[in-house]
Amino acid sequence: MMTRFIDDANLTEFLSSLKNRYLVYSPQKEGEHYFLNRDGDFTPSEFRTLEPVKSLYLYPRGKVYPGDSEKEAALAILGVKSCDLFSLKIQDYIFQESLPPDPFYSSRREKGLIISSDCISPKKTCFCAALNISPYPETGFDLNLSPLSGGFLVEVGSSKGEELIKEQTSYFQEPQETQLNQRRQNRDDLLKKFAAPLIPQADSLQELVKKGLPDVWEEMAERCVECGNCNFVCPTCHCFLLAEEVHFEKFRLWDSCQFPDFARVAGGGNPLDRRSKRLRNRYLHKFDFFKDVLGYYGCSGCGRCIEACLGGIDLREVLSRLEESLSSD
Amino acid sequence: MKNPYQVIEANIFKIIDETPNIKTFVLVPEQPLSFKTGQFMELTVPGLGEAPFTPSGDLSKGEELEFTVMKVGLVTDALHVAKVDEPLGLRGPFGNGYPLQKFEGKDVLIIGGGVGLAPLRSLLYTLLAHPSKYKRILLRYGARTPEDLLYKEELKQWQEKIDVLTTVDHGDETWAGNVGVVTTILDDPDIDIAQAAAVICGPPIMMKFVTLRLLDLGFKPESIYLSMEKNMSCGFGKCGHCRLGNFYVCKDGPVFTYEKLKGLPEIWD
Repeated sequence: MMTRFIDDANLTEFLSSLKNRYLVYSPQKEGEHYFLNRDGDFTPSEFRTLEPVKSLYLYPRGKVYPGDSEKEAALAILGVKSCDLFSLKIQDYIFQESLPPDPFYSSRREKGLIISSDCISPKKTCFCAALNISPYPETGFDLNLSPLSGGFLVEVGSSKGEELIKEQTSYFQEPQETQLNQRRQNRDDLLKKFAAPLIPQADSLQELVKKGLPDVWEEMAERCVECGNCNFVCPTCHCFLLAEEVHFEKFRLWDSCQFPDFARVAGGGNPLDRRSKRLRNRYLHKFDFFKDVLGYYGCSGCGRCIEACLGGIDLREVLSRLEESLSSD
Repeated sequence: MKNPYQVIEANIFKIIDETPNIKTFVLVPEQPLSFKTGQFMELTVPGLGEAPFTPSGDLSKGEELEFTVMKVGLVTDALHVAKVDEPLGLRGPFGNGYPLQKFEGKDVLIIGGGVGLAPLRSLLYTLLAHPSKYKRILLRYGARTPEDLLYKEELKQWQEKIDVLTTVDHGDETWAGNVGVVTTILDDPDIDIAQAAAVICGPPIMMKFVTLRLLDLGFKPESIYLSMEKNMSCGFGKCGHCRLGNFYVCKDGPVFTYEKLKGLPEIWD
């Protein structure tokens, strides 16, 4: 892949030139967290934003009929982290590749631009590396920025990204060997911060969620208050409610499989009638369904569900407890 | 790009009272829809919401679509007070439908429970339009009481053409037929079981016991076709409500062979 160097001043100009063509979102720090906001200056964030990147492609409440996705402005999202890039593979499968496509999601993704950036230090809840997901972007971006002293290495990940660099070639320089070495060193240092194993072996997780003993689900679900936070902050959760408020206008609303009526059918039958079943459903969807359908788990290791859970349910603890339940069997 | 959330308006042309809590609505969509029997649609009550139904009528009729609806919840309560000429909305069709080619040259045993006869009626119309394609067509149908039996007139007409047995869980003074759940009328069907296909639609508990009975009789898991009911909302594999194992029922189903589902512990939940 093509790699270039850009200094801080040129990057500011380059990114500001995007505003002619795109609605630009970038991570802005408020308190301890980063949020995706419009038109702020870009600073390289140490870790992911609080909200998942899906919120810009699949709004929490979005009108889907009548509506015209073609008329929407194109989005450029800056500072996207590797976990969120991974999550878009899941969303792309559901909303774009699995036919028929969702026209709103597809149009936003096709028109949009993603300029990702390397993580500098993970949050306490981060565990992407334990799922064998790289903590720095390797794929799924148009351009990726790796911060160095005085500037950034820019890696090209798509033809759209390559076009942008070719259009404004004066901002970019050939990278020097020392700069490439510095990026390698930074990335090695980042990986070391994930060294301690946080969850059971990644390749065992499908079996664990399928076969782990019911007691674990019962006990963990005791803490669930059915708020749905885990689903709403999850970058791979895609479930929604198709609602109607006025005459034949359809809205997509984020939904949660932890809500009691999620799977209820007419007549009152409910295959997910217990909190423990609903909690397990969330894990089966991520670690069984997507593993079989796509060949990889539907979890990016971003740790947002751990951060957001009002009941203190920690996905890493659930997986570890499932493993214990089987080993002590 | 086509918008799969698009609503097609359809006026209510006729309403038929079938049982105390089931009505059939004959709709005329503003544009013709092409269907495979067993596919379903989302039926919208304007301003309220939608629910999935499989058309119950004769799909060759073209401009009309029939939906047989039991009054069991928010959307169906509103449907049951709807009047002729009121507008409803439709999305779809969605799902796979019945694999008619797989039934050709075989005995086809159709088993319905309660309002589960609705999609099977559409299937019966389709099969009976070309009866020579199939060896024999048999219908086994059970309802709770005699007055809960659907399509009473058509049951009589079908009885003249095919082998039909009906049963009710609880009889009354008018009922001279079999009393018992639908598995009690499944014994010794006069068919070549090794070469037969069975099609089941009804409440989960009925589908479970019918499937187990058919397996006992020697039906192969790949010859038992189940119409699975889950909370299908979007209809095309996006909203996640109808996940069953590694399937979205709306997109991968709603018709599955038992062979495909038999490994799932939650199949009958």
